[in-house]
Amino acid sequence: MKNSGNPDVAGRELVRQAFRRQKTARIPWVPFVGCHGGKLIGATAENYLKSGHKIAAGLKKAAELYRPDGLPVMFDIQVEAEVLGCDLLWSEDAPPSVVSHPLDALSGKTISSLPEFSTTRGRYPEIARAMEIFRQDFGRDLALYGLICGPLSLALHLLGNEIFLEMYDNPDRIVELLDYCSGIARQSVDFYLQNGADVIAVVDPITSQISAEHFRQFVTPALNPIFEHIRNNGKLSLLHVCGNIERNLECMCEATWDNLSVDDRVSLPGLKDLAQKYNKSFSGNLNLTVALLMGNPDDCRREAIRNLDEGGDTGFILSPGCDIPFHVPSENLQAVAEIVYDDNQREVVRKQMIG
Amino acid sequence: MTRNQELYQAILRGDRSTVQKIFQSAIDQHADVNELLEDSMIPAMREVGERFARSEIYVPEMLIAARAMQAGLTLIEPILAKSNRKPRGKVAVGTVKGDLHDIGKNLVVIMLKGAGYEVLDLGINCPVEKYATAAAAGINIIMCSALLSTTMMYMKEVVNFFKNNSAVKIIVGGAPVTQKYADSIGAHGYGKNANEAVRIVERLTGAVA
Repeated sequence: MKNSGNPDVAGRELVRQAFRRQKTARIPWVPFVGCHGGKLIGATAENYLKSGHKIAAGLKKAAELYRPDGLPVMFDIQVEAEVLGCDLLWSEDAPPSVVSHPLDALSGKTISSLPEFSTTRGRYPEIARAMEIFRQDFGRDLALYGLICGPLSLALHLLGNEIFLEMYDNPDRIVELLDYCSGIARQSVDFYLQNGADVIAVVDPITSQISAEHFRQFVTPALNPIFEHIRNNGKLSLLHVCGNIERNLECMCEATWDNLSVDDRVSLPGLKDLAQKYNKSFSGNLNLTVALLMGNPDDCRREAIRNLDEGGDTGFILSPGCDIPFHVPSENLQAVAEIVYDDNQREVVRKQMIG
Repeated sequence: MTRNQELYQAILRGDRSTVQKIFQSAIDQHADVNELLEDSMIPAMREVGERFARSEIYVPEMLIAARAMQAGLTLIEPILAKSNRKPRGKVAVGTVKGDLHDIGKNLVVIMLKGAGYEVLDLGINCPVEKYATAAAAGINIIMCSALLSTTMMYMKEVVNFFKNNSAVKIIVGGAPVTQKYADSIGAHGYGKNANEAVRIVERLTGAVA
């Protein structure tokens, strides 16, 4: 499947070019199809996210409908937590939620008493199955993203909301916990690399809830070893943070990722300037709710134009601001794909926007 | 009526031991603790909310400020109860059905308490019946929080449930929620953040114009 606009360049290569801040013949498009894949094949989010075969079928359908240059194998940052003993509450139309925190004050457990982490447990075998089928279906034409839970978000899963007070009351405990979570993340990275991922996306939304000082104090020392590990294995890294991180962008840019993925609460032109300063690439930031979920195809075409024009053709990947909600109408994402591929459509919509 | 700067600053930096000392000293001297509350602690929490809204402080700083406030409130609650001091109003806050996230909801609860409201914390995963129970108990401001775009949709059910009860006002908020969405479902207010949520409550309760 060569979707690049240039018949000689596969989508995967377009994504790689954008990560390297090279000018691309067409801006690459990576829709974050997570539980939404379940909707595409008539499965609940729970059944979908527990089955490698269903995930592969959902990705295949997404590739047919949305003509992406890359896809995440799954968008669920509870996978690691589940292996480490967090109980999950499953939903029919959303990723699962963590409902118990094994390190919180109620449990009284310590890190050493957590279950041993292994990517042979939990849902990892199903993810491996999905990746294997994906490669059979698409060869190496599409970039495959492996998503891992970032260290601060995993630490929140394990410790619960206590983590925020502990940053002041017991910072050494948080440093130790984040170091542990960074190690778990590196094991998860190894799993995805062994199973053929091209890009490792570290998803850490909780970092939007802390200050730049706390980010530098606690998170950067836990994140950078993950990104170095990815780089040492010759692969590409991405940090995804949803939420309003405008004031933390500078400190986030100091970390050693290749690409920063943000939602629409971040100004793309501002991020573009910052990415250029730090010689990095960036992804974003289609609005998930007003445009993709609640809007119509015309709304989504306009939203795509905004993104493409603001992001530009060097070092930018068009993506939604986060995991695509389950119920997003397929025609809305197909409308985005039309704008990505069709120069004439873009001009028509631009004229309509001006008029 | 003068601000106790030491108390004000202690709340801002989340210094609960200083807050406790100041209130304990006031209690020992039979001073007016209500004045400390109204003139220093509530304004300090308002400042905390405004700093949060401007992204000058974040969740940890909000939580330590709230903990310091609570340390003071715990000391003076018996005195306030005897003084027949009335809260500025009563509000019920809950994360909607299907959603187990509570950070945003907790911040709203903190800010409302800090502003002098009596808050019924309905917790997480609240079906419409839970909000209805609060309304039946005489609470006319119902606040719904959601973190997920999927669970956000449940807010419409809450609004629809109360549409024939003009006394009840529904305020919505949470990461995926927007003013446009709030308007589309007929909510009476939308709080972009915890601080704005309090300002909406103040407007709806007539506390400010």
